Amino acid sequence: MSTDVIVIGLGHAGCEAALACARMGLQTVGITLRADRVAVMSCNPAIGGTAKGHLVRELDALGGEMARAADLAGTHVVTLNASKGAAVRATRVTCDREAYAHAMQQTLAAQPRLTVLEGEVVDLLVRDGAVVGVTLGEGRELSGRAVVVTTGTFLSAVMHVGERQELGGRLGDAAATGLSGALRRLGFELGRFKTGTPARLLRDSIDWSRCEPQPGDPSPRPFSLRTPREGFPSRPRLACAVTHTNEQTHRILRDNLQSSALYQGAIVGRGPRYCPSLEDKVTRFADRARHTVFLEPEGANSPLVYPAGLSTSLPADVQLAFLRTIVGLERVEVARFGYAVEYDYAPPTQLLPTLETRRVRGLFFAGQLNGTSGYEEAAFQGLLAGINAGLGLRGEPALVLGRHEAHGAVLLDELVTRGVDEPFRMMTSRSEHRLVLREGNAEFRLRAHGGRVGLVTPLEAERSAARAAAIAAELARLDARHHLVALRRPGVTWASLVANDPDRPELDADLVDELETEARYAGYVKQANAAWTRRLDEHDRWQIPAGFAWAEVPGLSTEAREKLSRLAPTTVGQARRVPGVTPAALSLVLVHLRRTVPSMFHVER
Amino acid sequence: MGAVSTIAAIATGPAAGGIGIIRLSGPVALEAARVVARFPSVVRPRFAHRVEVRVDEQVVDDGLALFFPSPRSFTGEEVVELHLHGSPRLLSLVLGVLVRHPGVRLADPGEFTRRAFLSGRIDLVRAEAVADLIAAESEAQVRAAAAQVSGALSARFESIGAQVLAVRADVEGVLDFPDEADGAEQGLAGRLDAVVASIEALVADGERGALLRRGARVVLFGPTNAGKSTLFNRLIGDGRALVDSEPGTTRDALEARVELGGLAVTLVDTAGLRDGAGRLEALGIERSRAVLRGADLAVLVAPPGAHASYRAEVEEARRLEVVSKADLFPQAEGLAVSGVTGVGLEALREVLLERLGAGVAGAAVVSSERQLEGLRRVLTAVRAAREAVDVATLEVVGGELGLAVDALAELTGADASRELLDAIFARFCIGK
Repeated sequence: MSTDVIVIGLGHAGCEAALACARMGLQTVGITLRADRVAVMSCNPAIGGTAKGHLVRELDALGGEMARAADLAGTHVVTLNASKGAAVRATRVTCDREAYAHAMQQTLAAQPRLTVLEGEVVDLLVRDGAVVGVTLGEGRELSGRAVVVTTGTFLSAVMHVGERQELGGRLGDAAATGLSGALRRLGFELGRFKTGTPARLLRDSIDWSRCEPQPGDPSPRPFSLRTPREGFPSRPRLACAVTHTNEQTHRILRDNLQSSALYQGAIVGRGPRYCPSLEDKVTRFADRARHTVFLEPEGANSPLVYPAGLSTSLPADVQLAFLRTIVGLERVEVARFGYAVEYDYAPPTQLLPTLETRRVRGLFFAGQLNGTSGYEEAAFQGLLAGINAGLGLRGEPALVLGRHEAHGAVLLDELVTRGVDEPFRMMTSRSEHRLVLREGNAEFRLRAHGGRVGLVTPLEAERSAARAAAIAAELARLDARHHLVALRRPGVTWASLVANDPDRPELDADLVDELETEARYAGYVKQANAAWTRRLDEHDRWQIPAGFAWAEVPGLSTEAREKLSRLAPTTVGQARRVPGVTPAALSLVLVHLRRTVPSMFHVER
Repeated sequence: MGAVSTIAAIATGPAAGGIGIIRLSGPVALEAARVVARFPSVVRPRFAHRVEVRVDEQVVDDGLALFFPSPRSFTGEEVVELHLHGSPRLLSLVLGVLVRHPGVRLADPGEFTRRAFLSGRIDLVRAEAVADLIAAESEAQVRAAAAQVSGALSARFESIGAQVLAVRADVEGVLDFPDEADGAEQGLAGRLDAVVASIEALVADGERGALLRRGARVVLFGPTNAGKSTLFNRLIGDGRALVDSEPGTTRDALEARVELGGLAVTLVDTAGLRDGAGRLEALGIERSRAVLRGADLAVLVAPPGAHASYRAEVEEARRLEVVSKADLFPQAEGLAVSGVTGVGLEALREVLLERLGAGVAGAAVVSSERQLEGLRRVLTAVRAAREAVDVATLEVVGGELGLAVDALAELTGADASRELLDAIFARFCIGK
C-alpha cells in the first residue's frame, strides 16, 4: 500500500497536518491508535488564552482547522486582558469536550484524499537518507513520500497515580512503545518530560451556590474567519465558576508529599513551571494562603467538571481528602483521579525551520513530541509541518514565517534555534514584535500565505486583502486631514472623530478596532522597529551549508563551539541568536565561512 | 525587515589629536551624515568637501567630509568619513547625533574590517590575518570584561538590571498570566521613577569618567583684559608635564596640553569677548564661541562683578566661574585667583579636577563610549516605559521595558529571554 503523506498520531498537531496535506491535493493517511480518540482534549477543555488565542487566529488565517472546531464546540468565551492593550487581548473558549472531538472527526471523515487508519507505527522506513514509509504493528508496511510524526505524550509513556505506575499515554489509552526505539536507531536524541492533569469531578456533586460565578462574554465573536456571524454561538452558554484552596488543603498536601510521584522524584522528566502540580505550588509558594481553582464544565450533556489549578499525582485517597476541604467541593465525587504522565520528547534543535528533521529527508516532527505543551502550540506546528511536507512534495518553496509575521513563527524559531529545557508554552513576551502581532490582524498578516500554499481560497484571500486596504485607505485619508494625531488621544474614537464627516467610509466594527489600534500604536511600532533594525543585519539571509564543520572554526571558545555544533544553525542570523555566541565569535564564524564557502557571500546590489 | 544596519564609529584613537575621523558604513551613511554635515546637494564621490558641522542647529566645527559610494569603498558599502578637529568631546557629540538616526548604530569592535572582508574588499590572502586580528580583539574584550566583573560599578550595573527585570517580570506576568498575576502592576510609576534615577546617576558618572579616558578640554573665556592669558601661562608654567604648546593654526586660540592630577587636560585660551567689537574682532569672537562649544569645562575668567554678562555663552553644567586679578582685589568673593602672584591656583586646580570627575567611583566602570551609549539607550527606553504608564496601555509599557532589557543585555551579554521567564516563574504562582 502506498500514499503521499503519512501522519503518525491524530491529536491536535496530527489533525492539522493531515488536513493540510489532503487539502493541498496529496493522498494522505492518518494513523491513530484508536479512531474514536482522534482530536481528544486530554487536559483542560479550553482552546485559546494569552498567546494561545493568537496562535489559533494565526492558524485560522493560514487555513487551519482548530478555530472552526472551537467555534462549533464552544460553551463559554472570555476575552482576557481586555483593558491591557489590543496586542495582548486574547480569546479563550471553553469547549464541550465531546463536541470538539466530534467536530474534528467529522471534518477528517469528510475530507477527500484523507484516510484514517487504526494501528501502531513501530518503525520508520528510510532509504538513502530519506523516509520512504512506515511499518505498522502487525508487520504491514505502508510506503509514503513524507511522514509527519505527531505522537504527543504517547512515546514510551508512563502514567503515575500516587506510587502506582502503568504504561499509557493518557488514561484509558496505551502507550506507543516501538517508535522510540526506531527514532533512536535513526540517530535521534530523545529526552524525558512530564506533565500532569487534575481529577475530573462530578458536576452534580459540586455546591455551585458556594462558588463565584464566572460569566462569559455575552456576545462573543467567532474565533474563525470562516465561522458565519449569524447563528453564532451555536451552543448554549455554560457557566464556569471560581473557588479557592485554603490552609487545610495545603496541610493535607504537605503531609502527603512523600507519596506524590510529581514531587518525590519518581518522575525523571522535567515538568512545566507554568503548569505546576498543586503539591509544587504549596511548597514553592508556602506563604500563599490560597490558590485559585477554576471549575469548567466539560459540556452541556457531560456529567464532568474540570478543576483547573489542581494538577496532582497524589494517591486517590489523598486527592479526595484535599478536594473536600475546598469551598463548594465539600461533598464532591470524583469520576477520574488526577495523574502525571512522563513521556519521550525529541529535542527540537534536531529540526530545520520547516520542522523537517535534519537527519532524515521527508520526515517531520510536530507537536508535543517537540517538547511543547498546549493544544494550540501543537496545532500550529502540525499545520506548518503539514504545509511544508506538502510544499516539498509539490516541489515548491517552503513556508518559513518571519518572527515579525506571527507568534507561531516565534514559536518555531525558538524551538529549532534555542531548544527547550522544559515543556514549551508560547507567551506574548517571547515576541519582540508583539505590538503588531495581534489577534485582530492575524488575517492581514497571514492569509496571503494561506492563499499561496492553497489552504485559503482566492476569494477568501481577496476579501482579507480588501479589508486591509479599507483600513489603509481610511488611515491615509485621516492622515491627509491631519486627524491621526487626534485619534491617538485617549478617549477619542474613530466614530466620534468622523461623526460629522460626510466622506467617512462604512467600516465593520472589527475594522474600526484595527484602525484605531494601528493609529494609536504607529509611533511605538516605529520606535520598536528602529530598535530591531539597528540589530538586524544581512545575517538572516546567509545560509550555512548542512554539515558545516563547526569544530574547525579556529579561535572559537569551547562553549561557543560546543553549542554551535549541537544546534547547527542554518543561517548566520540563527547562529547569532544562539545564547553565548559573542560578536567576536560570530566574526570568527563569518571569516571561516567566507574562507570555506566562498559562494555564500554573493553581494546583492 | 532584514535591512543592513549602518554602523558608525570614531576611527581615530581616543587621545586628543589634531584631527579626528568619524566613519559611517552602510546604506544610510550619507543620509545620516547629512544630519550633521552640510554636504552640497550634489555630492562628488571621493572628494573632500569642506562642510559646516552642526549639532542641534549650532555650528560646532568646520571640517572635511568624503563620500565613497558602494562598492568602491573600504567596506564595499556606502561610506562617509567626517574629518573634524580632534576635540574628543566634539567627536562624541557628533557621533551621538549620528547614532540617534534610526538606521545607525555604533559599530562592533572590528566590524568595519569584517564588512570589508565579507564584501570581498580584502582578499583571501589576508583572511588569516583578519581572523587573528579578530581573535586578538575578542581576547582583549574578554580581558576587559573580566576586569569589569569586580568593583562598585558592575554592582551598579547589576542592580539596575535587577530592578528593570523585576518590573518587567511583573508587567509581563500580568499580561501573560492574567488569572494568577493580576495586581502586580500596582505602583509601576514610582518603581520606574526610581530606576530612571539610578540610570541617570550612572550615566552622569560615566560621562565624567569619559574625560578620564580621553582627556579633558578646558577653555578659558571671558572679557578682554580679564587676565586670561596670564592665568593660562601660569597654569602651563606650573604644569608638571608640559607636553606641547603651539599657537593655534586653525583658530585664534592657544592650546596647550598639561597633566593635572593624573588627568590629561588640553587647556585653551580664547580671544576676549566684547560687545560692540569691530568686524575683524567679531570674527575672532565667533571662533571663540565655536571653541566653547567643544569644551568639557569652560572657565569664565572675569574681574569681580563682571561675570553676569558672559554667563549666557555656556550652560551652567559646563561653566566654572573664576574671579581674576585677586592681587588687585583682595576682598573679592568666590574662587579668586591671580595669574601674577599665583594666589588661588592650587584651589583652582582642585576645583578643576573635581568638576572634571577625577575620582568618581563609577568612572572606571563605564569604560567605553559603547557602554555609555548602551546605558543611554537603556535610559531612553525606561523613560519611555515610565511615560507609557500614564498615556498608554500595559503592553506598551512591557514593550518599552523589553527594549530596555535588550539594551542592557547587549551591555552585559545576559540571556534576556531566559532571565525574564525565570523571574516571572519565581514571582508568581502560575498554573492550572
